[in-house]
Amino acid sequence: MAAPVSELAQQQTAKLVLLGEMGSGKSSLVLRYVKGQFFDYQASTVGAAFLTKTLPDLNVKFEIWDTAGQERYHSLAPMYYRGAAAAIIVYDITSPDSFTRAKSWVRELQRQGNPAMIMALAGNKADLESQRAVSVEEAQAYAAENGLYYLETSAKTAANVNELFEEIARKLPKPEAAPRQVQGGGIVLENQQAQDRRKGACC
Amino acid sequence: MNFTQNFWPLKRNAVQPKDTRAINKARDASWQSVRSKGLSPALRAHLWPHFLDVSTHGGCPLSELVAVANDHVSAQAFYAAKGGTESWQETASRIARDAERIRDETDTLRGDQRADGIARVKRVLIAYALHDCAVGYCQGMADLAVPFLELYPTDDEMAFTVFRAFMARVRENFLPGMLGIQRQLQQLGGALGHVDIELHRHLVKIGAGNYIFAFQMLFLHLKRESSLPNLLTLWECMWACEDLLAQEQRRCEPLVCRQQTSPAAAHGVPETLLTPPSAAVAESITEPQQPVALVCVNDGQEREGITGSKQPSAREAAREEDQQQPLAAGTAVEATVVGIPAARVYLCVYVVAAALRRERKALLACGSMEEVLQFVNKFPSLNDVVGLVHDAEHIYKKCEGSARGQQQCGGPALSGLGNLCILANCFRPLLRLSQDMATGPEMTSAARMAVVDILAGRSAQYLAQ
Repeated sequence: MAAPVSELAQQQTAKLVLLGEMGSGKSSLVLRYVKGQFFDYQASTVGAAFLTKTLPDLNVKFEIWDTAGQERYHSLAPMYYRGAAAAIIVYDITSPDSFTRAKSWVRELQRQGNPAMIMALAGNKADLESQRAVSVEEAQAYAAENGLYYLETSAKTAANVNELFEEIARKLPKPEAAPRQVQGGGIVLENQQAQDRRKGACC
Repeated sequence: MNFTQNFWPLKRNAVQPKDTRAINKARDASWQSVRSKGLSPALRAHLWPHFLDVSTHGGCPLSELVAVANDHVSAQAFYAAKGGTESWQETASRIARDAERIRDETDTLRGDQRADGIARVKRVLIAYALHDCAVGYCQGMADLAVPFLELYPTDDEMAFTVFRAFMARVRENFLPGMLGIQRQLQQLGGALGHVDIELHRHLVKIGAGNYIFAFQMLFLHLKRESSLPNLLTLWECMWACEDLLAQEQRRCEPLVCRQQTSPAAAHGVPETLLTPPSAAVAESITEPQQPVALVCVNDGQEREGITGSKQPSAREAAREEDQQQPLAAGTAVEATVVGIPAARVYLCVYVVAAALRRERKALLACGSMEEVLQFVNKFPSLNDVVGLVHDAEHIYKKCEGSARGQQQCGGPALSGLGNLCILANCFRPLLRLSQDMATGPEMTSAARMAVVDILAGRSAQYLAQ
């Protein structure tokens, strides 16, 4: 059965940003999740890429910002994570350096980001088990310490990719469900004022 | 490939003053033909070094730099001493990781050949990182190296030399802080605002007015928005056009450096038009918002052409006619005298502006910055790149004309400080100015000091012996 109109109207749009060391697989994760594709040669992201994906079951529309990983692009990062409802910090399980960099991203978001931001830590390239250099225990302990949702993923095999994004969608704070019309007049008035302000700004 | 000897005589700074005019004109004519149709693939490998002024960029050969890189301990020491911003190991690892994931867009990066192709990219990038340690490696450079390796499929040394010369033009974009690109994003907004106010206003309205969505286009010189053959044509048309625009500008720029005695008399230019160097300097210092007096020592015909009072076709006809006249003995040297470097013109911003204008319908349909970025991520592959450069030139001239008139365009306008830079550039061959003031915004304070020194009558210390 199709969802009632009132439910559709409440679809939640959430800004999601991917951060992490270059080559950790941010673009591959996004591409796997949004388009179900994987390329052996995924060119480096220059600047940022933007993709969207709707999860009809959870009534969430993700606006996904995929960023460049190199430290030199760092000055652009705040522009991308500002206002984000969620962040996925990606590292490569075969690279301890990328895990260190992930920790520095977590610190930065804790310091500068939205305090209510959902943060997930993704240990990507889990298919390369033989080359593993960051243990599950270490990452798990770090994630627990910092209140991060943690999952090991593989963009190549698609393992845990949907799970990662869906779990974030579930964790998003739900928008106020109650229709405003039934609330007190004060709120209606406030909305009216806000609308007036918007009109004024347009002119 | 040892073609350098055949072509080096064309090098601007190596010819005798007497021949400059003829050679400049011959070069202008060939550059114009390149601008209007690009180069044949056979000629490309021979001419790119000239477009990029390879001869003016020194440095160790690829083989020596790669030899340094092979010894990690000495590479680390070298890299740190020369301004590397991270450990050599990190840089080398970044290069390896990025090279490995270059798209398999050409035959040399596909199938059995891929391993060799990737190894070549790595060598060139490793050598570049050691050549220019402050830049080292920045994501995106792997993309930019590919066209050069394609151009010289069997000559890594040449590929590196030409890539290095190209990087000399764009390196500011890749330095920590990326100031170059930030300035270009502003220029892009200014340029589009000049030529398509509706589009610019729309982008501002939907929150895309910082033009950050064009980051990749500027950063990679439209590499990912074009097929490789189109990209090569686009770049060479752009460089030819940049060079021609710089020549035009140079003819009208403050003439403070003259090699011959009284060229004005030879050309019948009224003395009142000629401003002595010190006066020009004084003017620029006391009234920084005023342009330095423009002096052209070419004939009236040339000057008329530059001021744009004629149609381009007429101007070109006039130039051709002029070119056919034999050079009279003792012809005075034109403003483009040997050794005066022109302020470079960078057209990439304007090419991007032209590319965006082509897609204005799609951009006007975008309702948010995110939509614009989404569109730009899948930018339609560029075709008619020659026409694109032509459009870019048009946009550039429009902005430049406005800037000259109003002195307020953020792009190529000559501010008071800009005038000082140009003055310092003009003096460079005669004055012993340190190398570090030759390029970049840092030069301005050094340039200012030099000019102040000249004003104070202490120019003797700068004069070349």
